[in-house]
Amino acid sequence: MTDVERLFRTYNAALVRYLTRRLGDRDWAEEVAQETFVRALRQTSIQNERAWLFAVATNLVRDEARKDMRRRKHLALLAEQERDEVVEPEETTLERAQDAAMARKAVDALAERDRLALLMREEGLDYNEIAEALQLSPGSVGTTLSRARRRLVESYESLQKSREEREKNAAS
Amino acid sequence: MQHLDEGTIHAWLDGALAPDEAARVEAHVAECPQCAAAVAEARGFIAASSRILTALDHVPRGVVPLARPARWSNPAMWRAAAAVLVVAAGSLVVVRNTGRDFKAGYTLTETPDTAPVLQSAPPITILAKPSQGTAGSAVQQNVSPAQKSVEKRVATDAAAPAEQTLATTRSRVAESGNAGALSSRPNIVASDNSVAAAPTAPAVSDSAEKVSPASGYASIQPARPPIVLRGNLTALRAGDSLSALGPLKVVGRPRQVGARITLYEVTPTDTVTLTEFMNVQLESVVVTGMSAPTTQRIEGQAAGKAAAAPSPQRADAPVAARQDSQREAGGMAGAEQARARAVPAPVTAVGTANGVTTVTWTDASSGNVLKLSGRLPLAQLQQVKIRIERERAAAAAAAKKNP
Repeated sequence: MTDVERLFRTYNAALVRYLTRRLGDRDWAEEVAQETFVRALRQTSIQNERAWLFAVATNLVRDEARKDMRRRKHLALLAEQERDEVVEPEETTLERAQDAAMARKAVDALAERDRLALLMREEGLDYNEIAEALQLSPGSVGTTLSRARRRLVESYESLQKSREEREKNAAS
Repeated sequence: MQHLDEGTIHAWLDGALAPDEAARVEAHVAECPQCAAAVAEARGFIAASSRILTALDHVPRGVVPLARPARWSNPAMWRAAAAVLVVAAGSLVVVRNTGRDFKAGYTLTETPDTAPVLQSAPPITILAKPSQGTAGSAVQQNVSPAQKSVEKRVATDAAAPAEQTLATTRSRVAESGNAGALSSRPNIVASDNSVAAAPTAPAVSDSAEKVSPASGYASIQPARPPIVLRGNLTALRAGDSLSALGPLKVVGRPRQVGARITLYEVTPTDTVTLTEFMNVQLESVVVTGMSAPTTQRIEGQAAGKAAAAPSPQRADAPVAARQDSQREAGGMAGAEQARARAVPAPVTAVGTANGVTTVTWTDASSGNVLKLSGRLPLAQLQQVKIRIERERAAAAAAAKKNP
């Protein structure tokens, strides 16, 4: 097994999940992950594999997003509107879709650095790896993560509250 | 010691602190209710944010479509597949609905030009002549009012093998003939003639009635090519056995524009459908009729099956007729062909599809195309056809007597 194969088997699932959460699109996430492993092929030596892979993936997303950010934002907005309009026949599916939409909104409300740090942490990266990938000082990772978590939960809860109010109004 | 900042609490909970610092934090949390509450809150945030982020994993693929335009081809392909299905289903319905019509259509369109039809016509023409009384044609010179001359013509025209066949046929009739069979024979022959000869049927049956039963089969049979006779004999035998069965039970008459449909019950479990296409509809059917190759195939099929079928005029007639025209070289044959072309001659077509056997022919008296179909073997269906024709002839005769 070559080194890239090992890297792929070890980190692909976490990387794709991280990118999917970051981008909101699994296909796009898989493409970025593949491109990340292609870049790893060209690398002669990688010190911290996980930190390197997440850093490269994050940069690829950032570069691509910079290229056509406006177009993607517009499309993501359209897709979101469509998601909101679609009434799924099964209640569980509807609930799950609504949860996903709120989570997406809450995550998108975070600052980019907070969001990436949180997503990396969720994939098991330790503070040093996150610091390396995001070029932060290791001492600030705790602060970044605590801020990201608090803001994420708070914005999610406020979204939840407004939805409950909407449903209450619709019922009465 | 100062209260713990939020970042340190998260780092401690994430296990990111050095052991000595972690011990210090732990000691403080144990004695500081405020920081203990902050730690509890932080645990809640960590758990909640993990749960929220998990919800992001349930994302549909292709939320951002323009990045991969290829994905849009999937819905398009589904739409295309759906369209193909719709068209296929639609055309199936159309084909099923028009299948009946097209079979009828070919009879009218194709008959005048097909050789077997032309060649089966001559004997009918000869029989019809005396009653029609047309003068001056080459045909008429050959035809005398008396039965004898017809007989003579057949005798001279037919080749030696044909004469042998005639002799064989006669002896077979003699073998099989009881009194009942003999007396019923002219009627059957007459009705068979009426199938074969489209517009001249009344004349044919008239002449048949005149000669029967006194002059017997011999006086009628020479009027047709001997080989044709063999077919009549088969039909005749079938007719004899059928005559004991009594009239067919009519179980329904579904309405259809341009066609008269009658459902006959053959046995309690088997019904056959007789469809009589009116001439009005046939005109339109010609337009919608399908391709000639299909027709040819059916014709070939009919000719192929004719040897086994009770009415093999089509298969055998060409042989006699060809000899006929060879001998007379133009003259009469040409005139006959001209006549045959003008008159839609009878065609019996046989087809089988999905276990349903269909026999199509042209009714002599009305000129309408009749189609008989049912889930029966061909031989049985032919018997039913003979019974139906007999009943139709009887009904027509009754209608003639009591208008």
